[in-house]
Amino acid sequence: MLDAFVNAFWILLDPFRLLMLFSGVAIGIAVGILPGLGGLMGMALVLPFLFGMDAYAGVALLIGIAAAVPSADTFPSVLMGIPGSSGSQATIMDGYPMARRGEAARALGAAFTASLIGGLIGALALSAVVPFARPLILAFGSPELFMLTLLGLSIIGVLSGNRPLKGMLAAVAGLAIGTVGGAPVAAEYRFAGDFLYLYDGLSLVIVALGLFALPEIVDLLARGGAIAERARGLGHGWMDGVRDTLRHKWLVIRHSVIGVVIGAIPGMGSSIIDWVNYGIVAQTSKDRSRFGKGDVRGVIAPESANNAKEGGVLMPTLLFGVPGSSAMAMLLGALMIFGVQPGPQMLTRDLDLVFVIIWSLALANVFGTFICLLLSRPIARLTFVPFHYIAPVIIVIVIVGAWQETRHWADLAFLLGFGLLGWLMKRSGMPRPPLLIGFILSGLAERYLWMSYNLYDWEWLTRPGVLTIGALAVALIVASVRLKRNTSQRAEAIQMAESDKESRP
Amino acid sequence: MPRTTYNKMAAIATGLVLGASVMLPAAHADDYYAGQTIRMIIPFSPGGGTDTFGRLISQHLGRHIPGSPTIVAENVTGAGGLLGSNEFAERVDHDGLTLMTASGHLNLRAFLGLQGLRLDLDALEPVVAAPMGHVTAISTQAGIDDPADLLEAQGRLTKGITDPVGLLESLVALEMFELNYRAVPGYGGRGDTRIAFERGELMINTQSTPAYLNSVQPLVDEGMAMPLYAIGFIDGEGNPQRDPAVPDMITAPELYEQIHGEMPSGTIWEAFKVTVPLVQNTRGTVWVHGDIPDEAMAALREGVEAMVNDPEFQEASASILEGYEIMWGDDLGQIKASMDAASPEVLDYLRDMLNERFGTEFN
Amino acid sequence: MRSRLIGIFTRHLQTPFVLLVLAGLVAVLTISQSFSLGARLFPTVVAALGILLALLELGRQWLRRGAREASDYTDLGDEDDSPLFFAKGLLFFAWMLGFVGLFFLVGALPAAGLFVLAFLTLQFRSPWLPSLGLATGIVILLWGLGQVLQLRWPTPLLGF
Repeated sequence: MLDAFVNAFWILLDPFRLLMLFSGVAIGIAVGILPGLGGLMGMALVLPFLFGMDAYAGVALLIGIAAAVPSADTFPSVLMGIPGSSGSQATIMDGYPMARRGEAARALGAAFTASLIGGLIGALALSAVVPFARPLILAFGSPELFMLTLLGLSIIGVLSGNRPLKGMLAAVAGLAIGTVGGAPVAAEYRFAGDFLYLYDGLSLVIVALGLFALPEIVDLLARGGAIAERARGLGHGWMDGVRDTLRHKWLVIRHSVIGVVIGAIPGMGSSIIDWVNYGIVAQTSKDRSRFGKGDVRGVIAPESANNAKEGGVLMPTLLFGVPGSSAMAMLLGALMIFGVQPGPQMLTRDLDLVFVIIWSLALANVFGTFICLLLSRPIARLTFVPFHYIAPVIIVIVIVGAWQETRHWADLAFLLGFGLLGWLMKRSGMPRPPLLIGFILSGLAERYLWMSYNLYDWEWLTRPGVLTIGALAVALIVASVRLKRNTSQRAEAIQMAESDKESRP
Repeated sequence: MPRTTYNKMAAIATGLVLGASVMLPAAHADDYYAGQTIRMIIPFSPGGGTDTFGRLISQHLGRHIPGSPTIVAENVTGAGGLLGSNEFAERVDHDGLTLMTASGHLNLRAFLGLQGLRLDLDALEPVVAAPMGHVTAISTQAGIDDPADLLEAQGRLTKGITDPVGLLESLVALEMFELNYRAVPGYGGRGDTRIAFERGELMINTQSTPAYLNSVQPLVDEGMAMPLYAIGFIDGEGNPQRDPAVPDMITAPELYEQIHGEMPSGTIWEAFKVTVPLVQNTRGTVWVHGDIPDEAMAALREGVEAMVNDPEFQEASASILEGYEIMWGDDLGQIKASMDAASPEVLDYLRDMLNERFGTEFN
Repeated sequence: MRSRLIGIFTRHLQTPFVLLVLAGLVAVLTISQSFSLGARLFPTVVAALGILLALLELGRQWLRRGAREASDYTDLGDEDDSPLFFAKGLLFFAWMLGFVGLFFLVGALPAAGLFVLAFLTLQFRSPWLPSLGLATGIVILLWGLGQVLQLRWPTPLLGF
């Protein structure tokens, strides 16, 4: 085992393979930075080239892209509140307010350091756990997966702030929107009529971009000025961020582990991971008053989880041939091209390939985050440029990118529609993150609920896994309510004091 | 002009015209695809089995077609393959410059006339195809030791359903045995049903033969599962044929014969004989419109023949075909033949079964 | 003062918006009844729950009318909410719609160039030279990205 580990490193050190790794990282960064394009597009791009390569080089290329995207898509999240690929969505909650306060470089520095450590922990977890992962992955049946979706829904509490009722309403509306399209257990295409485009339901990328990106762009333009409201010392920003992350190293470790674990569970998808981690850090931290206003922990937690998850999703992919995310589905296709069959025998027959994958993951994270760190200072300066110069460029890229997925005009129609919806939600004080969470979890919740019932009738409610996860969800909600009562009392007192100050002449 | 000169000139002129007209058709066949780009529509997401096959063909076929056109693969995803198929069926020119890679299950959907799918296989011609067999296994928790005891299996015989039309051949097989199974819809893909099977959630599982050998065989070796039958293939005379990847495994019709003492018969057997050949080209079927110019069709066939005999292609395709032989030339005839052999009763039977059990709607 | 303005505005818009959501949920509930059991159970339960929550929220808004809405962090930053701000917002949505229209009419690259140029000069009265520069820049960038990432462009309706 150990010599395979070392051997793989030397295999990877081949100049062509290293070149492939670097190219993958470069592509991943380019695709991640531009909002609207997804990491998936980067991987699809290089598919034709895989036919001529050996497995190690091909794998290095693909893992390079897959590992670099969750790092680079922090840029649009922090700088403009635009969710990048499905990875860095929750980062907008605190990363963007930091940029608004002129602390973009600090946010980026913190994010990339967290990404680096998270990614390395993910690679480490993969190598340590993968021999034992099989029984763990098999432990999660449909009932347990349903409970996990409930756990995901329990986070909306913290995402609704002082308006829990509005948050719940938004989440339920999200659940309803998620039912559009093919029903999981019946051959019915709901709310689609004859419009084939809707047979697959609405696209997560379109909904997320519409809800979060467009309203921010519009509001910034309407307000005038630059992204950052206040100027602050530019140069030292990112070092502060790095120090922040190192100071919160236990947070990084905790959330990296959570990211790996959720990523390893097949059937949950990876889009929910950064939200769950944001929810956990916001719900369980002692001083919660600054979450949503620019608390650096709200950046560190999702970012470490985001990168660590790549190690997690590789587990079901390699051990079972079941992709943990759409990027992994591409990897499976590539493995097929190279004649590698995923499954338990990978640990005996293809062990060196497994370790090449792990090494690629680790190295790609290192290269990727270093390049991002270098880019963060110049790119952070954009937050001080008058926004009306940046906006048209972003608008063009977002719209062109959003259209690439299916090239159907309806994509853009829904993008604008959800943009308008998100903007109206901002104006009427309805929180948007719960809507997105409800939307993401809708299909999963319905599917696993039905399957649990069809497989076990009502006995599924008494399974140990179900009860454990249920208890966890309840505990989180209770903890958040209790902590919120304390902090909101404190916050109200502060606000009353402030408003007294303001109303004084 | 003197008469003789005139005649000579006329003779020369006629000779030239005749000579040119003899040369022209030959030049035309070679020229049809010269400098052209062929678009290969793949109605599925990148990375899947059909996509990989389509890309393999795109990679290799181009240079063997006279004129050496480039083939570019394009994923047009959505609605389970409907969006890409409809585009191919209705929105591209019938000039031989567009091809489509379908999965065997998409073929079946088109054949049955699934609602919303406007692909008409009668108007298409297969260019090249790749088969893939399937194997059905059962968990040992069902309490039987031998496939012949299938009808005595106990407990809730759950079978995971991803997409009812997509699993039709395995469902028809189970119906043929009149087995009392409980369908559990909602699974995202065959990989998910495999994990559920391993977990003990599902009792019966059908996988492609390579996936069976890779992931289910270890369970069999551990004593947790048992293979029931291979779906097998159907030859030109309607007789069952063993799956070349698992030649020692009994096929479903043969098992039926073992249990009941005679071969299956009736509408369901006809349905099986129709479904299996159409679907067993699951890896992929490359279609082209049937009414493209003759030169184009000839050029395509020439290209396929050359490609199949190219050692470079054989080497590259080995891992993707996973032990099966590519279908080309006359072999492709069986695809259409089995479609033509389907009687209206069989079609009605299949459509009714899908509609009653799963609510599937047809055109 | 600022938070009071936000309070007033939020208060005015929040009720119509919840009513809108309520209407949507009722629609979902009604349409779902025409589906088969497997397809209608989940949407029915979800919509019913949503309608209940919407009514509770409307009740809460009625009870607390006149009281100040505490704005909080999920706003992603406090904006200066006024009718002018509202109108400007809609204006920029119109610009985006315009770009989408142009995108399908004349194709991606010309649309990008024209949009950037028009946006900067007409909306923000930017001087010609930098606007033209940026417009040319975006066209080049887009073309470059298109080559490298193999992006696809729509076929322009005004056939070029």
